[in-house]
Amino acid sequence: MIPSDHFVKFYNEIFKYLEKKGPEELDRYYARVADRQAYFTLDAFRRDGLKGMYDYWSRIKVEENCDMDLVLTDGCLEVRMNVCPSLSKVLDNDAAPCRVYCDHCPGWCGRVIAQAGHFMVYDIVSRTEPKCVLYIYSDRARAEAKYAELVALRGEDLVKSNFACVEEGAR
Amino acid sequence: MSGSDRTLRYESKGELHRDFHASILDGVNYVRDNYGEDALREVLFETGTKVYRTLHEKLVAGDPSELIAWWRYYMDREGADYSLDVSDGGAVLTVRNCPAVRHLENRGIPGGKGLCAATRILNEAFCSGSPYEIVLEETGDRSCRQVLRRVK
Repeated sequence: MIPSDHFVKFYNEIFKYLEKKGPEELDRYYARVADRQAYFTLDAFRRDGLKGMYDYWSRIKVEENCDMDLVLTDGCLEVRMNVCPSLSKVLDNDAAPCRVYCDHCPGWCGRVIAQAGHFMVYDIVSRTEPKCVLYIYSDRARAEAKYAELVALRGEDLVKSNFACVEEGAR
Repeated sequence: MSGSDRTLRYESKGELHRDFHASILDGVNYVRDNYGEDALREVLFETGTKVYRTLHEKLVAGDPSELIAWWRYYMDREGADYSLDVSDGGAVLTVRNCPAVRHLENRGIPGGKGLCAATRILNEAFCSGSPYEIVLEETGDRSCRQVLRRVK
């Protein structure tokens, strides 16, 4: 049995394998991860909107031992990961980290949040420091403004959105 | 061994996110279904020999202590019903109620036995190039017996 604590180290090995096959293979896997996460979350996200997402990440904060702040305001949920346990475990590892390890998080979150009719902007901040900020908006214009602000600050590699997923779902 | 298992490379603390057992199963199935059995073996061998480098290298050197400590630490941490009998020649891990398979069943996720198949490959990776082998026998829906023995 791989302990649940060590899942992320196994995940990291899958990402390294898929990265060798090409970035589209990683994206295809994120879609599969999103299907599983939707099984756990989507009903609540659709039913309760941002409050359902707040409740989900509140549970994750405890179960995954996150140093995380959650701020729910009118029309926006901000999930501020001060110390990400996932990247921390991948960095505390005798195997090398996948260069794009952090991309899995916006990769699945963005799809599920889009299915729930919301807009995600993900500030990865850094690929070597275990911190990031996830912004979820009810309103697309606010999300687009945040995305533009962050891209100007960090560049496109470190800022992800789910706008394409929302458009895909709307077709 | 009491308190902290100091021979372990990784000691996790705090709460558990048991839904990661579903994520492990999904990862195993995804790699096998899309890239084949050899791909899954490659990923699990990287895990077994590089992530768990110290455990593997000790086995290669004829020392099973970290594997035994790892079994004990994570079976305890996950709340398994199990026993672990250690002898001079190896060890027998008897799992009567596997916490991973149990959690998947509780969550309504089928196919939990896929974790047993992955464990066999991981065990093979741990022991590769070493004088040991681990034979895993499934003894029931949530139970198994894993025998570590010296074969060289």
